[in-house]
Order: sequence, then structure tokens, then C-alpha cells
Amino acid sequence: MRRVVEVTNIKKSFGKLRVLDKVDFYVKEGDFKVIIGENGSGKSTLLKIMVGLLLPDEGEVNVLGIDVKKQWKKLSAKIGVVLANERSLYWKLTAWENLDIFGGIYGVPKKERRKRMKELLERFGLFEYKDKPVEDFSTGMRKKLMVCKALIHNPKILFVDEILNGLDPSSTREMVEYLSELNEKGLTVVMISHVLHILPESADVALLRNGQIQMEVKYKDIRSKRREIYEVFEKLIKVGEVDEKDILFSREGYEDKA
Amino acid sequence: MKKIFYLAVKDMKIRLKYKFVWINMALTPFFIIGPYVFSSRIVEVNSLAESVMIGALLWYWLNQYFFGVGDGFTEEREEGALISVILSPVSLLAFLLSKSVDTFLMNLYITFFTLIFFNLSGVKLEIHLLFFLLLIISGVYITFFSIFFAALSLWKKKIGSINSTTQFFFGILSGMVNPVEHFPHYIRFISYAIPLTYLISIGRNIMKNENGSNFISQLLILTALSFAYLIFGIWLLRKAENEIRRKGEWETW
Repeated sequence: MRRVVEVTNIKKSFGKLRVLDKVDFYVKEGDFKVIIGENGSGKSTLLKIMVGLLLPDEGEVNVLGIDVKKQWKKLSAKIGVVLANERSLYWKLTAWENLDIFGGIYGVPKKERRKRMKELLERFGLFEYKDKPVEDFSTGMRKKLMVCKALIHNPKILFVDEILNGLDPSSTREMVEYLSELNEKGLTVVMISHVLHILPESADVALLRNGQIQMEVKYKDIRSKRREIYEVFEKLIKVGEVDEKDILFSREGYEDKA
Repeated sequence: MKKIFYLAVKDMKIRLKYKFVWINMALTPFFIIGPYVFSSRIVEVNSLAESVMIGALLWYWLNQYFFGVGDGFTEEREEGALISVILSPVSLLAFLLSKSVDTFLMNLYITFFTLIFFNLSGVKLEIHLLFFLLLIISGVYITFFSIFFAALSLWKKKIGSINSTTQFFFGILSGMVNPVEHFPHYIRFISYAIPLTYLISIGRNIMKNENGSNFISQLLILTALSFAYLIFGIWLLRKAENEIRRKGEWETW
């Protein structure tokens, strides 16, 4: 599979704080990649660099063959992005109006747009609330709608920042199942998450620590081991490594395997 | 163009959710510019009141553009939805142009009611085709000027805080009530850098039914000046965009 996201030697500082330090990261077509790390480790910064919202101080970013630093608007039509901010929807408008407007902005033809809006809203159980303003929605409903909005133009890659936070268990499962289903149909997913116990089996997990991608592992390889998943991840995120019995590959090993 | 259309529709849909705002928009301009117009009637010369009304009305157009277009980024940033537009294929310029379409429609609505209220109050403006052309030209050129201001306040956020003050500054200096020829030389120098100055002057010429050749030169200067603001505004927008992308400040204000 070809690489659809290639981040090479990225450095990013805010003032004196070095957030990313020579990060190399790639995502292959059809991957479900989850970036994990402590709060403030630079996950969102990395994601924002990949979608073009942020410019790195150094390094190259290439997504779907597009130089993101120079042509981020060209890229925007081909990717979907869900940020953590619930306010990224127009709260005074209804769910239907939000999707209609964003579908229009992304150039989805009216007939196709309406069909897709219906499908997406039905998939997330929001269709019966389509005429309610977003301000009347719960957090979970808004997050689902944010995903619908990001998918309205049928993107090739979906970038998702902490979408699972604030969702109840059944909504979390529903969201992960849907993302997994889309991934199985060919959508590449790059997700940041602190909710790690329910990721799809096929997911690859990348640990961002001390400004670098320190380790990449198959999610199923962590999950199948002896300890509670949270305990393993807690140690992984904090210390940057876990017992050999909890994890199968180092970053190098993973890459060899991949 | 389609992107601009959808964003303008979005603004209109949001506005339609606030029913009372429409009453506010129909009445407020009359009450704001009324004192200027009615004061000028003390001298019992109707043409003076009409002349002030033209100036004040066009100034009100500028106000709306400075709030609608000039403050466009700030408003949606505070709401939080700007980031979704930024992440979409919509350029910053297209976003501002959509705000301009929305403001133009609002200004037509405002002008319609304001003229009715003034008419009922005894200040009658002779409306003809040239007057509507002036409004359209005003919409386009003040948009260019507002794009420059919007870019400036995107680049340096603090500038957005003096939006209202700037509007009054432009109002007085552009000859809203007092022709700029009455200002001292050094102030006139500033007045002639404000597009509104030419619009008001052209508007008054139209009102006096003067020959078109009297204001054609002003129209040419206005056109050149407005395009200069637009070009500088677009350059500044690009600069601001790169600056924000470097600092990661799309969601701060």
C-alpha cells in the first residue's frame, strides 16, 4: 500500500517550548492509525500540521501527494477533519442545515448531498433530530454530527482529534464501530485518542513522547497480552516502554513487520 | 462562487433565527442617523437635510460592512465555527466576500426602511436609478475597504477592538455632515484616503441632479483607491494566514 501521509523530520516549537522534535511519521492507504501520548505531548500539533492548519518550523509534510505546507487548501477537499472543539458547528442551525451548508461548500452536488446527509444522519441515529438546532444537542450528538460533517464530501482520509472524549459507552462503541467500518471500506483513519480500550483490532498505535514518535505497535498485539489494557497503556504513555510480555514489537520491529 | 453563495445562505439562515434582530435593523439606523439629519433642518433648507442624509446613510453602510466583513473573522472565531471554514476549501477572501453579500442584502433592507421613516418625517430623497447604482458601487468598494480592515485585524488582533472608533473616525473625516473642503489641509489629506469620502460626494452630486461629468473623476479616483485597498488587503490576508499557521492561532481571539 502506498503512503498517503508522510511526515519527515518535523520540528515545531511554540516560543521556547519544543513540542515536536524531528518527527518522522507515515500512514499507508487503508491504515487505521491512532496517535497516543500524554496531555501536551504534541499529538494535536502533529495532526494540525498534517492537515495544514499549522506550519512546521522545519521538515516536510506530504498528504495524498500534496505538499501540505504550500497547498493546504487543495488538500482540504480530499480530507475530512474532526477537531475536539464542539463549537466547530453552527449551533444556531439545525443538523440538516449544517450538513447542507458544508456539503455545498465542499462542492457536493445537491442530489448526492441530500442522499449522503440522510445516510450519515441515519447511521448515527440523528435523522429524527435533523431539524433541531445543534445548540439543543447533547455532547455525544454534536460529536456524531461533527463526524457526519467531516464525511459529507466522501474524503480519502479522515483525521480525528479526541472524538471519543465525552461519549457514553454505547456511543463510544458506536463511533469506533462506524470508523472501523469505514476503514474496512477503504477510508484511511488517523485518530488521536485517550480512550484506548475499545479501538479496532486492525488499528496501529503510535506513541508520541518527548516530541518524537517513540514507538509504533499493532493494537491487537498489546491487547492480547496479560494485563488490563489501561494499565499497559498508562505505563506505555508515561514511561515510553512496557514489559516485553505486554508488547510484541519495538518501533523498528514494527516497521520491519509492516 | 458557489462557496460564497453557500456561506451567504448560512449567514442569512442564522439571521432568520433571530426574529427581533430584523426589527432592530429596520429601526436603529433611523434613530442613529436621525439626529444628524434633523439637526440640519434647523436652518430650514431641505436640501441640506437631504445632503446630510445621503452622507449619514452611506456612512451607515460602511458601519455595517465594518461589522459584517471587517469583523467577520472575529465573530466566527468567537463562536468557534471559523475553524470549520478554515479547514474547508474556502479561501479567506471567499469567506469575506460571502460576508459582504450578506451585508449588502442587510444594507438594502436597512436602507429601504430608513428611507420610509425619513420620508414619513418629511425628509424626502428623490430616488432614481443612479441612486441604486451608487448603492451597488458603495457595496463593492466598501467591501474592498472592509477586506483591508478585516485582513489588518486578522494580522493584528488588537486592531479589531477599535472597529467602532474607526467607523466614527471615517464618518466624520469623510464628510458625512460637513463637506471635506471645510476641513484643514492636513485633515483633508486623510479624508481623501477614505473611499467613503468619494461615495458621499458622488451621492450628493446625484441628489443635486448634476451632470455625470462632475463626478466621473471622483468615480475614477474611488475605483483606483478601492482596488488599491483590495490588493493590499489580499496581500495582508496571505501574510496573516501564514502568520496564524505558524503560531497556530486559528481558534484564539
